[in-house]
Amino acid sequence: KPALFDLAFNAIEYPDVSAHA
Amino acid sequence: MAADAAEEAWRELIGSIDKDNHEKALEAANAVLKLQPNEPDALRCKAISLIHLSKFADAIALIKGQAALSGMVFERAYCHYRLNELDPAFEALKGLSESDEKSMHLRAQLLYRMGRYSECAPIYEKLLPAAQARKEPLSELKTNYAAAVASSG
Ligand SMILES: [K+]
Repeated sequence: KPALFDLAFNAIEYPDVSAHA
Repeated sequence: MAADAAEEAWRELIGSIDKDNHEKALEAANAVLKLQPNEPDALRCKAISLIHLSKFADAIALIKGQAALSGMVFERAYCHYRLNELDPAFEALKGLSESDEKSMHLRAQLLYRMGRYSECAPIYEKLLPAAQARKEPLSELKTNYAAAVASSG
């Protein structure tokens, strides 16, 4: 049984919102 | 004034993201969206916050309901995967490029859960060199690859 990965989850990132700062 | 309120809400949102405080980020995204309805970046932030908070069904509903979020295909697929909704997850991923690593990884995981071992093993195999090149820990990928190979008999 494979390890339940969360590598994909790690790739889920907030957008670059610096333009709003 | 409305402009100041929006600026303040954005500051709160950006600060919360920087601190990985997803509860606060969700609140702040909602505050922005009250002042700037359908603002695309705020919508994206809200969707990502929901995912980090494991509110996968809410995230799917948001992504499906907003044309501005139609590009969040991987995220939608990932939410279905986490809800163990394998067919919708797989269906969503079909629209994405094979060369996208995270999508390949998710596709491999889905195929494994579906018992399609001989299809997922080669995907894991393809992912190993790239992860190695980035000096990432490989244990999980290797474990999954070995399991897929063993199960495909
Ligand atoms: K799995």
